[in-house]
Amino acid sequence: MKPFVTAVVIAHDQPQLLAVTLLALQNQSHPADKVILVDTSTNDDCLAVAQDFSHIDVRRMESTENLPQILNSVVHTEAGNQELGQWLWVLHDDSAPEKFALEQLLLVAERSPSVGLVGPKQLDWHNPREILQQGLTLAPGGEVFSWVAGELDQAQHDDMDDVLAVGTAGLLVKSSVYQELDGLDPKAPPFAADVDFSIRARLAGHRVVVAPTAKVLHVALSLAGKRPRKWLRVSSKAARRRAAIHLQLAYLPILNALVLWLVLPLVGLFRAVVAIASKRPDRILAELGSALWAWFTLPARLSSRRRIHRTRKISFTKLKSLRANASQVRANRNAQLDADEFFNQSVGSSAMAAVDSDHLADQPQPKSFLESGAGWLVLALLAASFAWWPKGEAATGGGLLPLSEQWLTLFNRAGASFQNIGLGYFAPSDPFVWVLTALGLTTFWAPSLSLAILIFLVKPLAFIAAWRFTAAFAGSTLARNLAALAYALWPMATVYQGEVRLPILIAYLALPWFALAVVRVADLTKFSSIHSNQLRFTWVAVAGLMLAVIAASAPIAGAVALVALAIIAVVKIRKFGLLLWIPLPAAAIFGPTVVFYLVSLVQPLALIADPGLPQAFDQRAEPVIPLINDLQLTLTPIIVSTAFAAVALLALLLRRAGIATALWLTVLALMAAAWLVQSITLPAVGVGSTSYDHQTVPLSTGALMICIGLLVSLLVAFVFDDLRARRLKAILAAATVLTAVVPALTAFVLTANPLAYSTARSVPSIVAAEAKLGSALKLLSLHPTKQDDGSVNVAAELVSGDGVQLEDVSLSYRFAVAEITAESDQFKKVSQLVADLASVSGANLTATLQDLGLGYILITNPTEPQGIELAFALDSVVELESVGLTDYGQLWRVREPNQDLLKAQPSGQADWSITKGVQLAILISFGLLALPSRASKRRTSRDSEIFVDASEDAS
Amino acid sequence: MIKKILLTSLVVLAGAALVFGSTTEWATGFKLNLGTVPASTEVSVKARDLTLVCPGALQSSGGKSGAKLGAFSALDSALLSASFAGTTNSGATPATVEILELPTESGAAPAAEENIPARVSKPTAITVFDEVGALEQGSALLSANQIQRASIDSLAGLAGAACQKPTSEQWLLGGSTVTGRESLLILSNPSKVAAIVDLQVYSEAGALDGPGLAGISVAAGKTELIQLASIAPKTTSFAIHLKARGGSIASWLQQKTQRGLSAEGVDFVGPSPSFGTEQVIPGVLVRGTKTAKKLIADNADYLDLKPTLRVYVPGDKDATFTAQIMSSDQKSLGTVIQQTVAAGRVAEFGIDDLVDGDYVAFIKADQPIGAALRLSRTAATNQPVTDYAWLTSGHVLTGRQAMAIPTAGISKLSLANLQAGSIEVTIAAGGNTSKLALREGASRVIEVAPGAALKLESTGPFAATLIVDVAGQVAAVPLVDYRNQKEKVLVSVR
Repeated sequence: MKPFVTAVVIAHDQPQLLAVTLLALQNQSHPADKVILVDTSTNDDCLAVAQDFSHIDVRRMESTENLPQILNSVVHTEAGNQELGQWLWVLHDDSAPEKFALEQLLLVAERSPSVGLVGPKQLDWHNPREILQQGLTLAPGGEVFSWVAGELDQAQHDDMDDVLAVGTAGLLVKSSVYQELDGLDPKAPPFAADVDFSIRARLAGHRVVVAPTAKVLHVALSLAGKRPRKWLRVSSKAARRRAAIHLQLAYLPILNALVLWLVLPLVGLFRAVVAIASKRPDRILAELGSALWAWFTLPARLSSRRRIHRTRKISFTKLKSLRANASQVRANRNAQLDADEFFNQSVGSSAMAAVDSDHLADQPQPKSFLESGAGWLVLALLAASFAWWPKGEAATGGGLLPLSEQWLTLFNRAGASFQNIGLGYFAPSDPFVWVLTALGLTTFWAPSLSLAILIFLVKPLAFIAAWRFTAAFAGSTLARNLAALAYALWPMATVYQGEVRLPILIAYLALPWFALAVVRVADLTKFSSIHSNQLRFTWVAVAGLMLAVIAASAPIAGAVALVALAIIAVVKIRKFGLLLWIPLPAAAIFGPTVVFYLVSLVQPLALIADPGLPQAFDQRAEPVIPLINDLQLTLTPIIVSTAFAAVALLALLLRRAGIATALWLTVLALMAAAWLVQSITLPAVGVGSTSYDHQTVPLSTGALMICIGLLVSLLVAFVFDDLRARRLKAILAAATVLTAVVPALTAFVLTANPLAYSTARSVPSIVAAEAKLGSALKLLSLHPTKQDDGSVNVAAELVSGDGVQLEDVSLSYRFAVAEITAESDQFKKVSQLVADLASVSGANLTATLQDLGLGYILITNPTEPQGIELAFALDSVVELESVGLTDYGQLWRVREPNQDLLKAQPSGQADWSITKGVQLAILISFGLLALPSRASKRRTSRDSEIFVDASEDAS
Repeated sequence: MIKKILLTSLVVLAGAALVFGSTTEWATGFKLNLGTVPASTEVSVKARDLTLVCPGALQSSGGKSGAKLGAFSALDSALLSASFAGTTNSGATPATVEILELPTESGAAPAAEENIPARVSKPTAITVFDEVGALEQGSALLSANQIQRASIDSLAGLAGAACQKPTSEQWLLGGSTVTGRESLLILSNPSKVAAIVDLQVYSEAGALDGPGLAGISVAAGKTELIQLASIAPKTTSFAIHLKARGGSIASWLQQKTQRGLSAEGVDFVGPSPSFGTEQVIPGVLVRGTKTAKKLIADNADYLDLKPTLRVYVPGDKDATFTAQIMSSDQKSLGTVIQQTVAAGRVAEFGIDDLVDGDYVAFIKADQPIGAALRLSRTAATNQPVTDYAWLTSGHVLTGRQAMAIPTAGISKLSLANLQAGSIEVTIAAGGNTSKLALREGASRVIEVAPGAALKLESTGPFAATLIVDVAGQVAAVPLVDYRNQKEKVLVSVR
């Protein structure tokens, strides 16, 4: 007997697709007995399409109705009119059945009377050879999981029949079953309703099967997120996640479901972090939003559970065999990745070949880092750095002070809004502290060690960074190696290393990575194209973190990088959406500082001052060229930089003259900026014993000089990459090596290491020990110096706890200190105390010493005449007792210190604030994104494509 | 290609223009200063309260038997004379004075403005407490000295000392450790912290090196006695450099002479003023030269009865000096000595050919020197026959000065003009005021009544030493203007 089939087509604003679908419906080998079109469109286009077909019962419904409501209402109406057939065939406007679809479906239904639901094999509308969906099930986490997806249809899955669930597109359902189950659940979220319905059918004792011979072409607009947002109400990612949560809450045993519900927000948060780590930041909102949605709509889930309970005949656990297990899910995912990769590589390589076939054709495939001998150059630079081998845990000298011995102390300082400087200071700590905290984490057991190692590795690291960067522009091994050498041996950088200008050196190492990451994200060069979204996110994160590092270490370089980023964003406007995210970490860690400088200090220009210890140029000879005043321009650096620049000039005559011109104009602009910057003088009261003498420091042009260095090295790469004449190229290379590389290397080897290596303490051990035991007493550090007019000036600094470490140095304090000390009565007390001490007035100082909470007094220069004089004075002060000479100066103990402070317990708690939380969240998110993911690791294990090569450095 | 070359030259030109443009005056002159450096605060500190320390009674060594090494005992007590002017002009809280025997903690607080005669046996600190620092310090505020006459078998003679302000560095010129001579170094630390004293001893042979010179600890409020013979045995002439860390110290040499079995003279040698190319030693009141000559002729051990000038050259160049011993009253002629002393060494020169009379020694040298003079007093009728006093160079005095005159003996004040022009010194004692005009290079000796509170006011720099004569025995007390200065300290807190 021929069963009566009612086809229900649901249309929603897709007239073209609907036309095809209706046509396909008309052409069925076994036509449906009744066709009902439910139009939920926002306009009449679909109605117009329907008018071309006869025998269609068209019904209008509100566009806000969801699928279950629509179907339920149709079934209800038809049943009421006694016109409901035996079978109900559900079609979407984007699912066109092939000719024999209904016939095959009915065939399967006929064979087994226990079948309640039959699903077709869904094929890709645009690529009918590919299977889109063939039966659904649940993954262990409750996610809807398609048994087969993205595979070419070679009839390999045609033996499939029983499944847990089928989708609604092309679903043939027995009307009696539909009614028995009370239809689709309107409370279930969109992607869960069909699975829920199938499972309920299963639980009621009906079979749910797939008819692989029945084929339906499906666009899967909803699943791909291509329907208007109103249809799903949320993004397709969120809808999928909601479905998973709904199904879990609906089908888990009630106790488990309630526990899950309770921890849902946490689960959401955790899954958001995982999403970041797996380079899917686009899923963060979906994860968090869905968790919260489910948390607040518990009653709907409970009503769904009741609905399930009503028709249930067997237990859900009996269906276990129909569910997918973890290994099946994993295998399926890997298969999909492989397929993606195959696609990407074939497209990628063909694109590369197409872009520049004429140029690449006569060149061999570019060599990888190790193949090109760069490894040997790194070893050579390492050997040349032997003088900088970290001989101790902590290095002091130049711009280096030890870091705290505890990494947590460092972390507490980062992003803090209160600083234990002087008598306590409310202001955001320098963004640079975040950089120090990150560096310190690499050797968390002895944070200072990381700095000592970093200084040792400056040249090799700079070389590697510059090599990767130039590799994005130049294919020639010679070009890459020479350009990287130009950057690593850039004479200004050598000078900075000689003076241990830590912030500049950090920016120097980060700059090429930032540039490389931006180039990758913006697809600027032929070698830089990337095709995986996940990899692109990785590079966005790398660029963001590097920009934060650069801006925090050398704000001028940060500004330059930001301007460059803006220009690239304008040029590559299509990448704007991605590039926009890059400044986020920098903005996060700089935000409070910017506000403080603009609002509290009213010192906007101070934003471009270098953080860290103030370093004057007093140890240098008169500058030869004021433009680069912070460089001791002896002959070698001039020769070396001129030689590199001369080679770089040739780029203007070669293939990439246009870009070279732009780069050279940038170099000139940077030089002009350098002149402007060096004319600005900053007040810079030294903090920490090594820099008491400094009062004002000209702004350092260092940041601009390293930017110039990177541009010049890039131009050098252009020259050697584009020069065709082999002999000329060889001569030029030899000349570069002789006039630039060799002298620069010699100059570097001859640069004396000013660092003293010791333990990480920065105060005498007795003070450090007491601080460790919880003493909150301060150390008064005195540094007497003779003024030009013969009078003695005593610089006094109140040092807390374990001393002034690099993370305690605050740039804003240096700007604010004039005002603070002038206004505060406590500071006046300190001045009076110092004067009393220095002049041996005989005044009773116990009260003052206790009031100020002083425990120790240190003279930092006890061997200089002024220091000796002051030491005599302190020796005769009754309130003090001499401890003796220490590594840090001559020390006195206060005989009767403030007992309350002495016995104060170590607080040990972190200084949290909202801003710090936000900063940390952003930094961690970017950090997770920047870590190489499984996918990118899999890529690197394959053979060495250039872009594949670089991705391993994302860490 | 031409376009490209043109472009390249343009870039080169622009670069060169930038580099050289930055060296132009306009470019180098362009300066922007951001923010202000905190200015150093100038903090005034009130002068430290003035403390003077007196050595107390003479120390007799050897204990009761006189033969015990390293044992000292105070011999009776010394007569302390002090003057104190404890009110301020501004009417602020009047200062109080406290006399504190070291190391005991009991103190007396006389309120009188006048002489404070007292007898002290232990080293004694006298402090003027001035809470607000309104008083001007100096001898006019507080001045003190002590004399003591000893006449036991092992110790005889008159010893006098000015009470001194403790400091961290001192030079003592005087003393001898040859047979029959004993030098006892007295280190007194009145402060509340321990003092560590390092000694450098120079002799006629240059710097001495030996154990026990460095790191002598003097506890707070205590006094240490050191036999110099243990450091520099059998040395004729010394210069001792003391450096103290921690507490400041007061120091003297207690010098005694014994010829055969009889004790023949004792004195305190006080610290010398700062060294220089010009030194003036007032108070050379020579008496009994005839007896002395006779004694010297009989016994070579009396050779040191001659007035003897001791010169020390602190620098590293030899010094040639000319000492003019000039009479204060034109009754007698002086004499002149011209000698050279090697750098870093001490030398002594006996002054012959002086007849009895009042003299002042004016010494000029081509290098900074320190000078002191041993003045002997010999009288055949005395018992013992001889005594002596060590005269230090005169401290430079200006403006108002005061001095308490001992109630015992005959006191004579020897004054010398230190400046190139003439000066006038107004002298007031017990209601009588007199004026004294001193030409350039002139000196005068005046006798002052015992127990008088002497007040001086000068129009120019001068030096003064009080010579006290008790029964033919002599002691010298220099007038020193001790003061602590108000201080200004520049402090920059960060």
